[in-house]
Amino acid sequence: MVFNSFNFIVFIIPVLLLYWIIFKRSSVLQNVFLLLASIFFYAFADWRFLILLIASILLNFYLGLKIHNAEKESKQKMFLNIGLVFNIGLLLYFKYFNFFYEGFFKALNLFGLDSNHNTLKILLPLGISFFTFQTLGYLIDVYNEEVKPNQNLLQFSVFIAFFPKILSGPIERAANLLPQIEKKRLFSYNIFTDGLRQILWGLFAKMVIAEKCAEIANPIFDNFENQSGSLLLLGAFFYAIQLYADFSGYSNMAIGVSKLFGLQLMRNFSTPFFSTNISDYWRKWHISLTTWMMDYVFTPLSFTLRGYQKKGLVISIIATFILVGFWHGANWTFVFYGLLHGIYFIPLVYSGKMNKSEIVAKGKWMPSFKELFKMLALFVLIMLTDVFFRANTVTEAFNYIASIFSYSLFKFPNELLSSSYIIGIVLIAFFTIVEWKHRERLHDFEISNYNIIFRWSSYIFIFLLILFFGKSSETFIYFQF
Amino acid sequence: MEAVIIKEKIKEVLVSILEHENFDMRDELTAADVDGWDSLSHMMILTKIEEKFNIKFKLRDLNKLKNMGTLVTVIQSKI
Amino acid sequence: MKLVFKIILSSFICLAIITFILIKFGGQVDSFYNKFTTPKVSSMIIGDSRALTGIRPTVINEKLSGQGFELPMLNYSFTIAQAPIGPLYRKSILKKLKPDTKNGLFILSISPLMLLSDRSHDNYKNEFIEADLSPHNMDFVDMNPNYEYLIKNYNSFHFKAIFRENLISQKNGWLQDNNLPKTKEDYEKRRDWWINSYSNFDKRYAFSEYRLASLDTLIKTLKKYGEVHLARLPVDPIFLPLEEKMCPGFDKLVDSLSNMNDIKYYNYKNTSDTYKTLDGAHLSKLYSGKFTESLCDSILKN
Repeated sequence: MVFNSFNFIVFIIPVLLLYWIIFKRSSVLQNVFLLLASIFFYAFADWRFLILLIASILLNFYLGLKIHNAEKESKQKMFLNIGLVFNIGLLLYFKYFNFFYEGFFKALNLFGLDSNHNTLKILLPLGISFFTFQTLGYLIDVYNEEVKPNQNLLQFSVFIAFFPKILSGPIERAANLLPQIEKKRLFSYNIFTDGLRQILWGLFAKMVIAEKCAEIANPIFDNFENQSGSLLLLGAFFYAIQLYADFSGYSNMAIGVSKLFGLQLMRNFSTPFFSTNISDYWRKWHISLTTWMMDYVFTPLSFTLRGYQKKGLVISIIATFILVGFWHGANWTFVFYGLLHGIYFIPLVYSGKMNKSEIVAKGKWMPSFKELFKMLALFVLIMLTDVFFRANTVTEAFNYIASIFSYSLFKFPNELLSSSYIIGIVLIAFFTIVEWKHRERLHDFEISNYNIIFRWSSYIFIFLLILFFGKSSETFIYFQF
Repeated sequence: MEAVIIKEKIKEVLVSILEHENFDMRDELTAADVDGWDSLSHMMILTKIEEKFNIKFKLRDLNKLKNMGTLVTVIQSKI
Repeated sequence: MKLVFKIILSSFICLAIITFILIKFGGQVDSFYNKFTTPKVSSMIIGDSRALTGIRPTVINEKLSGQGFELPMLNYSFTIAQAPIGPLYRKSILKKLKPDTKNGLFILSISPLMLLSDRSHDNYKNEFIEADLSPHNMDFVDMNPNYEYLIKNYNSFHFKAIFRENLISQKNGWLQDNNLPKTKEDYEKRRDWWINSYSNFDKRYAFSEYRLASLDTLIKTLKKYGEVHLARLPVDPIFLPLEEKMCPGFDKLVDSLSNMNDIKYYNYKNTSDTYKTLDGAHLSKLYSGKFTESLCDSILKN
């Protein structure tokens, strides 16, 4: 069940009431209840893989203890390797098997060994990319003595299966979430209302902005061969916003829901488009994935390749980003997406300008012209690269981008004057202004410091926006079979 | 080797790579406090330190390097 | 405590806004919502979207007053996706019908499409494509404001329509479509859209004996409450061969069914020159009044 569904409301209200009224007495009760709710939540989405999830929890829990208790380093390494093989194996089998299988037969064809084969029908267990990354991170952390292994199976199960984040993240770290699960959660008015605000903003981003952008971008992408360059550029623009609003909105809802239970998940997006260079952008985009990749892929890789100086760094960055791309799905388009982003880092590595993340125009109302120019240039670059994320094949993406840069790029798109586009642009402008205003805050809609009248009018205003613009389907049921 | 001498040598490495001296070599100093000391320059700094002291870090050592104090301790344990 | 109060207050505000919109603009934000907000009735129009736009209760109330029917009339038609002939639609009709009705008037608008069923469904095993849609997912069909409808059919709501007036579903159930074709090309474009849909329809759906039998049951059931009349509404002639192909011998089937039950079948399928449609398949609001009058005349004659 998705957060913006009626089912979820029916699920969450009794769960919250029971959690804070009946099960509040101890952390054990809280955890037992959260685990039951999480199992129900996962089973409701897809009960067939519940066993897989439970098996993964049990094995990783056991391996964590084994790694820690082994005396010899070689033993520790062995248990770690078992864990890596198991977790990565799960992911490879369920998510990437057909990709490699087909690739293998294509390679055979290249050598003239034609053969018939059928791809297997493998169902993807929900959330597998997220929970396997979390368990992998946990085992590596235990091995590196970053965290102590958890001794309590109940707490560990909640850490992996906690329902707000099981399906699509954020990918949590043991150091952040486990200590919160070990303690008893006390009800806090401020955290609870902050969670509600974050959910409201997430709903708005997903149901209004992302839906509206999808409604505009989909027909352009579906029929891109016949569109003018200028319209294709607009399509890429709306898709880039859609991708951001959809995923950041989802993350805000997940983090917000989690706050209702007194658990603080890590931030996943922090206004990434307000960045002046690509490394800044990746520090703010899907943070839980990029920091994961940083710690467990890039750092070891660049450490191993440190003898090659800057060349080693470039190779590590590109390899890391290819993996970032590939993580999103078994398709060459994602590999290309990652590869391109890796390439964008090369100038930064050579100029040594990988500065620490600074908030753009900190403390000011407006960015300077130079900052604005840099942000826009970066945005256009990202927006064009996102075409790879959306397209069905790499060739399609190249064709799309090639068609943008044609003479028809200078043809004014009449669609821009239609009411649908105007509404879309006005809504995006509102969305951007609110996010810009809160770029220095803990989340995009952290407005606790405003006065009560302003706060309440904002809530009602956003509620009305969701009500009026939340449904994008213009095609009316009357025309439906 | 004494901590003071080690720190002196580390400082030389930092200055040569980061091209500035706007930091204070106290034990609590972390990478985040120093301009330009990010995940990329980190590896170059480590390589330079390995050359200077003629030691080799292990991947596991990497995670123990939390601040200047632990860096010095790790180096001391290697020479 | 403060929190509980605030949450209740904010839920109340949201609910108040929604209630206001439902009461004031219910017919604009959803084309079927109003049907579930009116009291139960004794006479109704039953059918798909052709009857939804084509048959106007006000005209019937006027023309047939004093004829002994228990009026007013309600247009309880839906779309072909929601309400093909079948046991589910029959149950919903009975929910909306006053149980003590003696002299009701029931106008059944039928078309070959209403007897089709998804090829993958077995009607005899209670598999129906319409099962999850309104009106079949509704327990309360006469509640105002109707929150059950809001919760179960939220996806069909389009709230921004309060600023527009393209489609207005009136309290008596008739759907007023103000979006008329401006040119002949416009009309043909809409008609071609339907032709294209018909061919897709043909791939997925096939004539269902079960639905035909269910039509018979529906007629027999309604006869206990009053008079039943069958009608086939005008469509662009271009559709007639397509419909014949989907359901061969449809008119004959209906003729024999009406003879068996001793009721009348008025076939208007060839009259689209007199009663014009806005897209080939649905009567334009400019002609629906005239058409309903003619229908009333036919009923009076018999």
